[in-house]
Parts: sequence; structure tokens; C-alpha cells
Amino acid sequence: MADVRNNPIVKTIGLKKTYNPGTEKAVDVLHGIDLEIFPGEFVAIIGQSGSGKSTMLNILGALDVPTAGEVWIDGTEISKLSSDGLAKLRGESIGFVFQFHYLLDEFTCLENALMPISIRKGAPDKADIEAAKVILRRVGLDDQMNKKAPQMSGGQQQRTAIVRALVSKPRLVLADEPTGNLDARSGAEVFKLMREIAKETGVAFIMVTHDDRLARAADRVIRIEDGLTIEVAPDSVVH
Amino acid sequence: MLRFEFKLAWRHLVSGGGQTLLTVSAVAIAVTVIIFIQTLITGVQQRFVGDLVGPLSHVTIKPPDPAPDTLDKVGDRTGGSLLASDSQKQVQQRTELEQWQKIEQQVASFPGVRTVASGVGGSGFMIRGAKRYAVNVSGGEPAKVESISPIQKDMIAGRWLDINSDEVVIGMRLAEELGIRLNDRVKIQSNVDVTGTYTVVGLFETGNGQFDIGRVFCTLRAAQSLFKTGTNVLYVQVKLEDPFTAAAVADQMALALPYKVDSWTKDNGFIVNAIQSQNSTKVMICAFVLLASAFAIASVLIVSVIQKSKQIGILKAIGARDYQILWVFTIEGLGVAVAGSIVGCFWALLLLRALADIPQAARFGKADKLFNIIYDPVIFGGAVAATILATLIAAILPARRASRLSPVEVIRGG
Repeated sequence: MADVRNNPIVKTIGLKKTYNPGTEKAVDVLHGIDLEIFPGEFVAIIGQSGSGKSTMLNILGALDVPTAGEVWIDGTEISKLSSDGLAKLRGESIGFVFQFHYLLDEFTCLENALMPISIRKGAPDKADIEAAKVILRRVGLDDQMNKKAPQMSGGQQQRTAIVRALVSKPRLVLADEPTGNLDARSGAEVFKLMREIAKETGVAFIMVTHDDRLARAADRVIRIEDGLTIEVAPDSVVH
Repeated sequence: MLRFEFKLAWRHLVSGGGQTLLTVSAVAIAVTVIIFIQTLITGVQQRFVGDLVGPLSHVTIKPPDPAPDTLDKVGDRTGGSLLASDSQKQVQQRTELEQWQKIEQQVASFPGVRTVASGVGGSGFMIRGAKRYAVNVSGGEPAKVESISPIQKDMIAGRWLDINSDEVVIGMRLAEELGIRLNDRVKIQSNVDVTGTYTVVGLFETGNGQFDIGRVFCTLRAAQSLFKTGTNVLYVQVKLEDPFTAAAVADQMALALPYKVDSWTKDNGFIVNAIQSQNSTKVMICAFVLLASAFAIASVLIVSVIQKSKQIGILKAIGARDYQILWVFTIEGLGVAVAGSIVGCFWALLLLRALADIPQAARFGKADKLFNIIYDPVIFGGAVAATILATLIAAILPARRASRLSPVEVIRGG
């Protein structure tokens, strides 16, 4: 475990983010964050609305670049990467689960799950399809694989989105309010599933959530306050 | 290659349903209109050119104009005193073409030349009993003359291609004017005062009044004796593959040959102008149709990009590169263009076939179709190529917009 912990999957050094820098509308969101997240960890990021949780997640997911500081993801420093370089890193190393599933309505459950591979390779091969089917079965979607996205329930769609996030065997999955759009029961199921998968696969999960109950179940909880991070003990998160 | 992009574009188009059908129809209508307009105007032009230029030689080679005498030479001939009337008494200069077989060979080697025919011709009178009528006699080898001024298709009685040197073929209106019937004997008096007697063995009616009343065709030998040219000819006529290149070909020949070279366009500028004006109209109509179609496609694709912006955002979040998104929407545009072109060609064929069968009131006594429809693959191909190009240009703007969407903006927008 020691050597793994010496190689964080995510590392930020003095991470700063300012929107509209150099203008009257400039807004400082993150003020210099130092953070390390290691493989297999399930980290919850909490904070007030507008505190910068999603900004942080977007930067950690190589969807956005910092204004200052360094961000290392899977050994790559992202601030100097081009748009295509960021896309490549996202496709190969990072999985995403969003509050809204954002599945493609024109594609089936299985095709949606395989989308990152189709983007990268043109089309999935047999091994990719089998691997995706294994994960789909694992999340209980055995009988939904050939259904188009709109034919599935919200929970099923979000589970498909989780499979999509995992299918490329990423080392990091970022989840932005993954249960925010689900009813309590489906939300609990989806969260439990992510938690189990993190343990089984050693993938690091970073989840932004408003739900304190979910945060309490994480390995680590990071609160963002005034543009800085404060590490808090999970069991100290108040309902 | 581009399998993902093709698949996504295809699914977009299929799931687009009515919207896709509408866009494909817009392109199809554009292709149909372009093919329709092009075919109709080209057909009209071909008939127009066929009727007016058909019997004309495209390029005619004649002996060079006699050089005017200088005043001192004129003075010599008049014993030192200059008289204005003396300028007309010029020394006989070459007015015939010798070794015309060699000239024919030289001329035939120019690019764009289809056929070459040497001939002797001039004005004269046709005499039938007490009646005289001014005519223009054209003499040449019938097969060659036919390749320059086709009259075989306009023959209404008798024969033409195998006439002998004591036989002539005349227009129907001339025959009516002089009361001539097939196999009647007529006299022709040339402008060099030679008179011959010939049998009328063929009658033609082209529909061109001047031609039908004033033109007489005979063999080269007959014309050579009628106009006293011996074994020489007076002109070499040339038919080109494209009559509208006549001026340029004539210029080239004039540079290379020591003769006077004229093109039909020199004396018929109004025809060239009319056709150029038609061409401009054709191009303008097609350009506006293309523009309208391109706007329709661009607007539909822009709406599609806005509708799909969340999808584009998520695709980029999970690894899609800018160029991949650019391709997806470009392929969509291309798909619409190709499908629309196929449908448009089909519609155009149906429309043209329907028009092709409409008869016209008899023209010059001959039954004809109202529209001269020619199914030209170049027109079809050109319409398809122009439409695909316009569609691609129209697709680029929305495709670029899509490729530049920021996944963060889209996802944050919810």
C-alpha cells in the first residue's frame, strides 16, 4: 500500500482558478489548493453552493484548466495541454458520472456504455463488448442492454452512465452529484454500487455531493470553503 | 476510419426523422431545379444553335484579300494621271485556293476540328422558262458538304448524297417559286457568265426561309465549271466540335496559314450574345437556388447543433476530440447532400421525362417536341457536385461551432 500511496492519481499544487481573469467581472473561485488523491480512495467533496466544488471537479477531470498552479493527473500535468490533449487524457484515464446521465438517446444501453471506446477506437472489439457486458451485469442491467436510453428508468440510465465511466478502465472516476437527480432508493443503490466498484477495482472515485449521508460513507471528505480545501473526518459530517 | 463519426452522424440523421426528411427534400428540390433549368436552357440553346448555326460553316478559309495597289502603280497604268475610278482596275490577284487537298489536311490537324470540306460557290440565277431567280450555288463533294451543312435530314423528295455533276438539289420554296418539280431540267447562270443545264434531283426544306429559297447544291465539278475555277476551290469550310470556339480556332488558323480565315461568330455576333446572356441567366438562377439550399441546410444543422449541444459536451467530456465532432456534423451535411442529390436526380428524371413527351405544334411542316430534352450526365453530375459542395460549405459553420463547444459550459448549463 505504501508505494501506491506514494504515487497519487491526482495531485494539485497551489491550484488557483479565476473566472474572467483581468476583467471587472473577475471571480476568484479557488485560491491555491494542494491536494493528493490516491488509487482506490473514495473521496467526497462537499461545500456550499457556489463554493467551487464543480470548478474543482472540472479541473481534476481535465475538463477545465487552472489559472495558476499545477494539476497532475495520472502523471500528466494538464495546464499546458491542448484541447485535444485534454480530450485524450479524459478518454484514457478518467471516467465521468454527471448529475444528469447524458446518455445518447440514439444509442442502446450497451452502445452508450461502450461510447468512450467507440470514440477512441472507432468501434469496440469483441473483448471490449464482453467486458462492458460483465460490468452491465454487475450493475444489474442484464436485461436492459439492447434498450435505447429513453426506454430505461432514471436509475437504470445512471447505472449505464457509471458503466460508461468504467468501461475504459480509468484510474479515476469523477462523479458530480451522481444521485442528485434520482429518487432516494435509486440514489442509494447507485451510490452503493460506486462504493463497491471502487473497492473491487482500485479506481479512485471523487464525488461532489450535497448529500451529507453519502459524504459520511466516503473514505475521505474534503470541504471547500472560501476557495480553500479543509479535510474533515467523514463521521464528523453533520446530517 | 471515422467509423464512430459515421455511426453517430447516421444515428443523428435517422433519429432526426421529419427534420432530416425536410432537409433532404430541400437539397433534392435544389438539385431538381438546377438539373431542370440547365437541361431546358441547354436544350433551347442546342435547338437555337442547331437551327441558326447548323447549316453554317464554323470557320471558312478563303484566299487572302487582294492587297490594294499603291498610288504609283495605279499611276503607271494610267500614264501618270491619277483617276479615282482607276483604283478599281486592279491587277488580277489570287482569288482561288490551289492545292486545296493540302490545305484540308493542314486544317484538319487543328484541335477541335470535326470535318473539313472544300468548295466552290457564288451567286447566280436559276432560270426556268421565262422565270429567273437569284440563287447562291454551293458546290462540293456531297458527303463533305453534308458534314458542314447537313440537308439530308431535311430532304423531302429525291436524293442528295449521290448526285452527279449534271444534277442539283434545291430548296422547296425555290421549287415552288419557279414551278419546278423533281427531275425537271433547269438552267443556272453564274456571276461569271457561264450557263449550265442541270436536273433537279432533290428538294429540301430546312425551315430557314432564306436558305430554302436561295440555296442550290451541286457537285464540286459542276461548280468548278460554272464558276470557272478549273481544279481550284474558292473556300475551305470547317465544322468544329464546339461552334463557340470558332473565333479562337480561326485566330489560330489565321496565324498559321497564309489565308483569310473567318469564323461564323464574326457575322453573327447577335447569336453569340444571346447565348451568352442565356448562359448568364442559367448560372444566376442555379447560384441562387444553391444559395437558398445552402442556407436551409446551414440553418437546420445549426438548430441540430444547438439541440445536440449537451450530447456534444458529454462526448467531449468522455474523450471526443474537436476534429471528431467537426467530422460528425460535416458527415451529417454530406449525408443530407448525397441523399438529397440522389432523390433530386430521380425527381429531375421524372420531370424531364414528363416534359419530353409534350408535342409541339408542327414546326415547318415537321412534327417536333415542345422541349428539346437531352439527358446530359454532365448536367446531372455538375448539379450534384455543386450541391454537395454548397452543402459542405453550409455544414462547416455549424460543425465548427459544435467542435468548439466547451464541455464544461455545456455540462455546467445542466
